[in-house]
Amino acid sequence: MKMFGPKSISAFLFYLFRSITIGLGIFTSYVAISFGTGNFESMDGRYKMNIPLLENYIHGEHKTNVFITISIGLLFGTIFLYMLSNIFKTFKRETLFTQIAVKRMNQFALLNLLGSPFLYLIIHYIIMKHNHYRDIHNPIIHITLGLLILYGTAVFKRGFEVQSEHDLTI
Amino acid sequence: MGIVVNLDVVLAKRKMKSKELAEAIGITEANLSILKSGKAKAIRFSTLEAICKELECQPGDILEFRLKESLT
Repeated sequence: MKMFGPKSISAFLFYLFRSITIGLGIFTSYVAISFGTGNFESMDGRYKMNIPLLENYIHGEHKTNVFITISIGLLFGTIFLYMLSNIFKTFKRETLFTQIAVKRMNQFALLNLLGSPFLYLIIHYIIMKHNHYRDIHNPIIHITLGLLILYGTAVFKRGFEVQSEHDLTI
Repeated sequence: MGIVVNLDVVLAKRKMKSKELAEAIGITEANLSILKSGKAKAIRFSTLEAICKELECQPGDILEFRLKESLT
């Protein structure tokens, strides 16, 4: 099976990640609205929120900063998957090297390089008020991924230039 | 430095239309227009050969080198 173009692995991954994005987006909205409106059970300083359709629940400490952390974390995950699905959307086109592919890869690289560490600092030290650096591996993984994508973006940019020159060869 | 395409001049001398040349050498009118307007990045030897054959001219009649200053 081919990697790029219509009816390729990229097309399959686009539909897969876009479906997960929609599902996670709905879940994020439900959780955030439920936290905001108090749509959960509260007992002994802990909350328990039922997840409709799945007949499951999430639970944890009943604290505002925990609610904010979960909501922001889920929102970041939704944005991450949305941007990832957008990259696969450009990969499933007939023409691989396009300006939109370069733009979307660049945006995704920036999200990983800047967005993730920024989110870690905000959540870990400002919202949760931790004084340790546990879970530091998360932003490190994102930064590594961001660097790799940044190199991939540079390759795609060069590919786009070569493609443009080739298209203008008569 | 710049390469100037004088295809219009040669076509006018031969009293030939762009459409006729495009059909004769087997490229689209749009591509011939890109070539005539100087927007093309490169020209294949095969295309140049076909143009020269059809217009009975030399590559130098179609392509000309001019310094940038003299282009304006």
